Amino acid sequence: MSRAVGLDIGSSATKAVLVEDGRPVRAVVLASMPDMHDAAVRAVAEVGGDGAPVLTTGYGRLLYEPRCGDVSEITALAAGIEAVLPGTATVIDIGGQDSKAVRVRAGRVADFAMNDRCAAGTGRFLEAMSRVLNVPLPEFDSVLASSPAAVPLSSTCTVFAETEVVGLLSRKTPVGSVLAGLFASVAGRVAGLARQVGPAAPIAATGGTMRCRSMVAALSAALGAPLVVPPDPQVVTALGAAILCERRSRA
Amino acid sequence: MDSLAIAARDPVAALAERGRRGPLGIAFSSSVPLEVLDAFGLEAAWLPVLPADSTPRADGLMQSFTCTYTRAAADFALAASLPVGLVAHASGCDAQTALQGILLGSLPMASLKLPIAVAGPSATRQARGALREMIAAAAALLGRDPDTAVLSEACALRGKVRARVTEAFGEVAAGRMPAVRAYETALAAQVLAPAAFLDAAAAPAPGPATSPEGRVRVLLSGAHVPSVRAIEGIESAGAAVVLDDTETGTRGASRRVRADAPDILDAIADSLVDGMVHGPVRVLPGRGRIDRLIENASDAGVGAAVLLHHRCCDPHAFEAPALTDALREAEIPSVLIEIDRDSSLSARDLARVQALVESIA
Amino acid sequence: MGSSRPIETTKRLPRLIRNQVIWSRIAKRIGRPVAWCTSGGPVELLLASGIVPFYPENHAAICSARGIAQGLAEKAEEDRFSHDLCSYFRIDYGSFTTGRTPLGGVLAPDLVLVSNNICGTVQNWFRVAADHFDVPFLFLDTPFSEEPCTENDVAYARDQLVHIARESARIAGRTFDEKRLVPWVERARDTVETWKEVMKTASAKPAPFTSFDAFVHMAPIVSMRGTRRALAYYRRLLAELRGRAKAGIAAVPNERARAVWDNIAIWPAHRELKKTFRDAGVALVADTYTGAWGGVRLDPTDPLTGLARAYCDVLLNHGVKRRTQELTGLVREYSADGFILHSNRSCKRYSLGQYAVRNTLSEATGVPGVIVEADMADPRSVSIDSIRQRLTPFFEMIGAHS
Ligand code: SF4
Ligand code: SF4
Repeated sequence: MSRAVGLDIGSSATKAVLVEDGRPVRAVVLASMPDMHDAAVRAVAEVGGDGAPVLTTGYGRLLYEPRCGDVSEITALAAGIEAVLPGTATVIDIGGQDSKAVRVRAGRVADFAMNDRCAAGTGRFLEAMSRVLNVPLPEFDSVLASSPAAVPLSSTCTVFAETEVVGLLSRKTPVGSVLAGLFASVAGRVAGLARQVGPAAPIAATGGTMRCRSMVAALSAALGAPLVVPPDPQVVTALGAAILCERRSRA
Repeated sequence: MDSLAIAARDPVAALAERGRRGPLGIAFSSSVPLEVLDAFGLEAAWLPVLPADSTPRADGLMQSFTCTYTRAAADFALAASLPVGLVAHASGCDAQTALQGILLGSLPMASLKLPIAVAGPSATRQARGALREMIAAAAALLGRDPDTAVLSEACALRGKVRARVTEAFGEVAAGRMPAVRAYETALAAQVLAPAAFLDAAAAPAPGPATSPEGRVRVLLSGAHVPSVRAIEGIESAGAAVVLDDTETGTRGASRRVRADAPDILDAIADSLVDGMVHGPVRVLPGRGRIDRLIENASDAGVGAAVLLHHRCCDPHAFEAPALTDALREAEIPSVLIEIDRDSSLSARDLARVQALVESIA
Repeated sequence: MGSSRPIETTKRLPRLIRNQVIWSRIAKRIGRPVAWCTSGGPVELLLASGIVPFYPENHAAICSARGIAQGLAEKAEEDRFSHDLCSYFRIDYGSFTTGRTPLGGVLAPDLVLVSNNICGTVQNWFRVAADHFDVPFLFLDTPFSEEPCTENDVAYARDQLVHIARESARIAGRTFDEKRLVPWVERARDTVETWKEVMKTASAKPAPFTSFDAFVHMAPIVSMRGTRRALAYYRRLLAELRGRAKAGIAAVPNERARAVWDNIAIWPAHRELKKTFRDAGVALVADTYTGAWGGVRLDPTDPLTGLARAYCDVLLNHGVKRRTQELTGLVREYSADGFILHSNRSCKRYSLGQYAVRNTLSEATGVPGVIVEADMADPRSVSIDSIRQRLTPFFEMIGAHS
């Protein structure tokens, strides 16, 4: 039996996936902070990967030893999506620090685009707004369900958006409407990114943010195309790394 | 490390050393002929991008949408620790034009109004007139004229410096010199005194030439290379820079002054118009620049391109889509990296380069 | 204190502009060439050869004021133009590549005419447009300087004007005749002089006219300079404003304080801002933006040299020093109690250096100033709430309150 671990050390979460004979057997998600290295070590242990080769990816990919190598999160994402949703042509990932759109051909990267430095259109933007609104991320869906009419938000800059949101709330705009506006804003930004690579169907969406159904709906609306979300959207990149790792150790 | 590597990696120390010998003549652009500053008896240098992790003096004077080069330049010029005799500046992008006004009150500054339309009617005459105007302004500020004997000597010496830098990149393309070494050479040439540079550059390069074998051969295009570490970062991601199109590298070193010209000032002015390879700041006819780049890239067997831009650098940002498309047409995938207030590549930028390399390998 | 019924002449503005658009279309259809021209471009040369000018900057401002800027700018970003580039460019690019425009169709150019006397953006923007439409690119390079331009600069600009005049005439199937230039130059000068007088009416207390009005009324001076209709329009406006000044009709009822503005208007927040100022009793009495047109002086006796000098001399072709002088003059002439610098992230030429301007200007005039961060056209970089946060304490400082 061949075993391999993919370890995705991200800025906010560290994800590990163990595969055996090309099939995922376990996945673990831990908070990266305050000690990224420690989180990585624990993730490998908890996923049951002791002794198996580890291929790292993500922001902290060079932190972990011993590893059999490292790949960029873009390459890993392409490999991962091919494993969970074979035939995917475009995958859009909204991560904590950045979002990306990748054109995939047979599990390999054909083209990609990543957001610039600004936080707009990333998980960080939503987190910042979650603090301003005092609504924790996991509750977004239920708050939204209660008041569906979105108020358009013009600012995409985190600082400006914050003042705008405070202004709206002080004028008694329902929190749900503001939230819907925020989703639309992030979705618009990410859709723009996706258009840079000319998104072809079928389009998949991944990243922790995609666990939020409203985010998926907003993104789909902004793209004007249906989206497929794999069951465990947060660990697709780690899975891709695991698969590439197994392939490498076999070679 | 030899003196080139040391100067390239710590340009501020190199400039401080020069400053102990006499007042500095600082150029903010590769379009300022350093030989003229030499002839004024200044310790002339073309300012590289300085490590600008914090630039408190410039931050108080500039908005967030200023490129790192301009910010670092202003901060350096305003730091009281070095004796600056003259700051010279050439027409160019909007950030460069703004620098003029921002620093005007605090520093002796002379500006060179070169034509932007380098192929337009009367461009050469404008350059000749503008060079004389700049010299007159500098002479008024410094209270002395340039020494004409020194000028022709300096002109020849600076020509050799640029030829040496050009040669270094030729060696990189031929696989005889690692790219890092060529950029060390180029960056050192910006800050060292010409004679000292030529001495150091005459010695054989330390260490073996690592061959680009097995790595993806890339074209590096952009304005100012922020540091040697940026090159090391790109190469650590599996790329080998084999072709340069930057101000720091081949463009800045491309200027050729006609040796047989009857008037040396005219010859210098002409070299700034049609004697050099221009970047996107100048207006050239048609798509000349991009076509030439693609041709060079194909000749050099380039497999990918890294566009290393400064955030908020308009001239390069405007060019990026057309350049990216032309590269794609030539089957050269590319990635755009934006430098903002740091001198090496961030983890996410490295991931981009790595993804590019992985998509080819 | 009089009531504040709106300025009558304003009602004529939409029709004036609409007619201009219709006329351009007809002209294009009957075979007149269209030139896309920058706001600081030597349009007189085009007009003298029967070429119809069209102003993409103006068009971008209209798109922004009509609320369609964001989608157009996003198109440019999708095509990998950086979000940090001038929003007028991004909006216009989005418009001419998709055909979306509030003017009922893109007026395709037969040539573009660019001068870099306003910024370095336009030479790139118009190059992209020229490539897109595959038309000739004519360029007037005006050496930027902090100091007044020199004879060398003027001679250089003049040489290029000769080239532009010949080339554009050739495209229009004519030969360039300097004599035909004279009436256009004369009318342009008269229009500019009249416009200057219009702006000067704001020096009355209370001001019958504010920069918020000027931002709107400047459209003809940019896009119809040299035409009879524009001149007639400004004469009418001037007469009305003089009457209002005499009658003490205030643009801002209960004018409590006066301020001067630097940089382009903030189109996405134009209405809200106008109201914010009005509510606070602050009259925006002068600005460097609409005033930039007041500064152009043309000389009909030697049109080409006069044009060369005028186009080299525009405000944005000079830096911080000249702007500070200009603002100092405005603060004094219009008895302003303070000044507002719009730090416009789109326009680097206009904005970089404002921090230095603020310090020197405060010292020179003794009145306070404030910097507001925004963008002239991209709503995503404009937050009316954060602008108000800056303005409120400033208004209090200059003796107004909301
Ligand atoms: S060319 Fe670009 S990097 Fe260089 S000074 Fe201008 S804006 Fe900055
Ligand atoms: S950069 Fe400024 S002057 Fe140039 S087109 Fe944009 S707004 Fe106008």
